[in-house]
This record gives sequence, C-alpha cells and structure tokens, in this order.
Amino acid sequence: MNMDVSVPQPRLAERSQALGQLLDETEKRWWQQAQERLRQSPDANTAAILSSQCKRHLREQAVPGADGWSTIELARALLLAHVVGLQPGAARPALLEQLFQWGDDQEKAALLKALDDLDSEGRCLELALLAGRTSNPRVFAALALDTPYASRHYPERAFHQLVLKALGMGLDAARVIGLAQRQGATLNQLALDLMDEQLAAGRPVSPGLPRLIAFGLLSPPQRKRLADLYQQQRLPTQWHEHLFGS
Amino acid sequence: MPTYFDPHIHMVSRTTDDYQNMAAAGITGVIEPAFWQGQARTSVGSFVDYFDTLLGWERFRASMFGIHHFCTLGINPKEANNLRLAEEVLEILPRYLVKDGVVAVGEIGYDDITPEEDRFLALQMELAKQFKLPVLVHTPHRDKIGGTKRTLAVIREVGIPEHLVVIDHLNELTLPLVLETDCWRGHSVYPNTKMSEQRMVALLQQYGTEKMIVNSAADWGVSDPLKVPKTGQAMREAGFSEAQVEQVLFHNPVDFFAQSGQLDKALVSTPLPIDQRKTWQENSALRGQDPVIK
Repeated sequence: MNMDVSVPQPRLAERSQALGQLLDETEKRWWQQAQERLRQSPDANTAAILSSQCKRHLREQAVPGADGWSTIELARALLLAHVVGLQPGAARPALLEQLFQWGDDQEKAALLKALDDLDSEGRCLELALLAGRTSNPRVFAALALDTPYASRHYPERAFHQLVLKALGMGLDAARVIGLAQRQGATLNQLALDLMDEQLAAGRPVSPGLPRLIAFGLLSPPQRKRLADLYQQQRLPTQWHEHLFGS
Repeated sequence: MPTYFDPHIHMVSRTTDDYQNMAAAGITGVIEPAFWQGQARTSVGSFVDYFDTLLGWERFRASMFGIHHFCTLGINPKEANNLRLAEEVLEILPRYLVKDGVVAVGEIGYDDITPEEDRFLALQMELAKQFKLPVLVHTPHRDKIGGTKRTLAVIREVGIPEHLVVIDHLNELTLPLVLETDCWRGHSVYPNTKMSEQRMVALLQQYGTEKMIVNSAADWGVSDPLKVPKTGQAMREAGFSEAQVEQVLFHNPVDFFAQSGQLDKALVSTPLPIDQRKTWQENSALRGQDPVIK
C-alpha cells in the first residue's frame, strides 16, 4: 500500500545543517570524528556504537523547526542514514532490523522517526509493525506521530490499530499524519466502540477521539446516539461542533 | 477466614511482601499465565528460561509462603506476530504442556488482531485439545468487541469445547457476547485500566455468579495483588452471601482449571504447610533470615 500523503517533510540531509549550527566546538570535533570513523568503517556495528555514543558527546536540545527532533536523535538518524545509504535497497530492511534490535529505546525512537527517510518504499513495514508493539510511549510516538510512514504503507487494519493505540497512550491524534485520509465507516465503528467502553467504565472519553470519526459517514442511528449522549452531557463540549456545527 | 484463589497473576513480577499479604488475606493458590515481559523477546531461549522459572523457582517461592502455584503456558498474542520466534516457541510447547503444575494453555488470544495472531491462537487451541487442557484467552485492549467476537469464532472453528475455555479481561460490553456461549467468564480487577471492584459487583448483580471468574492480573504494572479479596469485600458490602463470594472467588476458578486433571480442589482449599528450611536448587528467598515453619 502506498497512500499519497502530501505533507512536506524536511529531509534528513536538510536537517543535518541545522544540527551543525547547534553544536559547540567540542561537540563539532566529536561529530566530525564520528562521521570520519563511519566513512572508514561503514558497517552496522560501527554505526551502532557511534549512535550509542551520541548521548555521551552531544547535549540534548531541540532542533528548531524540526517537528520535535532533538540533536541526539538527529545525529543518530544521520549515522544510520549514512550506513543504510551505502546498501542496495533490498539489503536495507535486514540492516535496519539489526540496528533496531541493537538499539535501546532512545535509539529505536530515533530510527523510527527517520524511517520515512530511511525507507521511502515501505520495505520495512514488518519492522514498523513489530516496533509498534512497544509499551514505551516515546518509541510509539516516534513511529506514529509527525511521520507519514504509517499512512503511506500500513494496511487499513494496522493503521486503525496504530491510531487506537496512540489514543490509548494519551498521544495527540492530531499529529497522526494522514489520519483524515484513513477515516471511514470501519474506523467510525472502532472509535464508537472505544467511546462506549470508556463511558461504561466511567472514564473520560479520549480528547482526540473525534479526530478518528468521519462525522459525515455516521449512520443515522450512530449520529442519534452521539447526539443523545451529548444532550445527556456525557460527551465533552468539543463534540458540539462536530455533531451540530459551530 | 474466607478462602480465595487468584487465577491470573504474574508473580515473577511481585515481591515476597505480596506473597505474605496474599496469604494473610486468605489466598491459598494462584495461577500464573505466561505472558510478555514488557518488551519483545528476541530468542526462543528467553521463553525456555521463562517457562522453567514458572515451573521451578517461582513455584518454590510461592510455596515458601504457603501458596499453591500453578501456571498456564503459551505464546502471547503480541509475540505471536514475530513469526520465526513464535514457530520456535510452538515447537517447544508440547514438552512443557505436560509438566507438573501446568493447568492450561495460555494466555493466548489477540492483540492487534492480525492473521499471525489468528494462526497461533488456533494452533495453540489445537494443542490444548491434543493435551486435554483448558485454555485461558486474553482479549485485546483495542477493538475489544471485535477481538472477543473473533475469539469465539476461532473456538468454534477449532472445535474445542466451550466449557474448556475461559475468556478473560471482559467488561460491560464484551461479557454479554460470552454469556451467549458455554465459555467461562474472566474479569481482571486492575486499577484504572481494567475493571474496578464496584463495576465487577455490578456485573455480578446483573448477570449472576455462574461461571463468573475474577482475577487481579497483577503484574509489573501499577497493579494490586489483593484485588480478589478486595472484590470479596465489595461483594459482601453489596449484599452477596458468603457462599456467593466463595463461589465466584474460589470455586469457579478452581473448578475451571481442575478440568485439566492437574489441580486438586481439596488440596488447594487449604494453604500449603510452610517450611522455609527447604531450598530449591540450593537457593532460598530467605537470604539469611530465620525460617518460618507452620
């Protein structure tokens, strides 16, 4: 599956310039040495060791204008991109899987954030699905938020699970790229089932739940049920706009 | 003192304090289902060591506090998606399912509800049939209704008798689906994410006590290994009789797992005699403290 998601993504190469501007002299020296070392030994082991060392040699700071990337995540992604870029396309999934397995959760998150850059063709779908079974919200967010990878390559069922899990982890569904294109009757029903479970348990309805719903595709009974729940004040006020217009 | 049995609790994640408190609250026995470890395992050897721990050290550790320990073994739905690993685990399962202390296949079921999960759920149900064991089925956190419906469909497809299956982690929306079958009905009373004592009591008031099972599902998460006795207290406060409390919180789970032929009801009706002088592979949880004998 390759859904066309027209969201401009600054590529890793462009971001690398931003990284250079954020490093002080000591950090720059290490970063240049690291890159040189990887040029001399462009293998998975060297990339993995240098990726881990980023945390010891670089200060963690936000990269301006880069969707929540930190300097360390960006440096790690650039190291991976270098070693992956030297491999033919068919060999890349196995290499990325190896690097993913070797990484700790912070390194896994950096890889997943960069996955759309590292694998524009969706060859690593299995790895992405495996990675999505994490219980670490930071790792899951790296896969699910601010990246078009899932929307471009996930089958419908897997994409729905990803969105539901994002809500369950309290992540902002608004940052799931391509969600609007994946809405439909099936996701509507899943969202309403989740809402019913939360209401039955006496828990607040997830704030991001309306983002899953294509309100124009609700059946008349579904719409009536939501309207009734809203009138009974069992749904937050933000639902008013979706149900009755502004 | 009332007698309780917790049929779903992950004791490898708990402390000796928990065992002491559980025994003091009247819990005479537990069942520890094999499940995932909070992060993905990468080799079958991790499963081998885990299964051996459930059958060995953990069973011994429970005995030090007078608690009967049994387990269910299987590959959990999350890791069923790692095809190579799942196939390797499936290969070793038969020799484990016949070990002393194994009372069911579990916990198996759905997580993302993928074709791989379908396959390993069905294959493990076939193993249960082959080894004449009951099955403990986990229902998913996401699309719980869809997952429960598919579980019931697979049970019918495999042809395992429904009375040999307990469907776990049920709630207000999924219990009615299971009530239409002969399967047993499992509920996890777990802080914040699953059922509460009050919601459990409401279900018992609405649907009765037949085949209703309650567990704590306590694990490495923020959970409470005393949720079974606490549910007993909530039932009493809601007007349930002592016999009804004992039916739900002791007889039902024991009767279900006793179908394995590996769990003696008379034996688990009283705590194990405690003799903390005993060791297991020359190891003890005492760490130099004075052994209790009673």
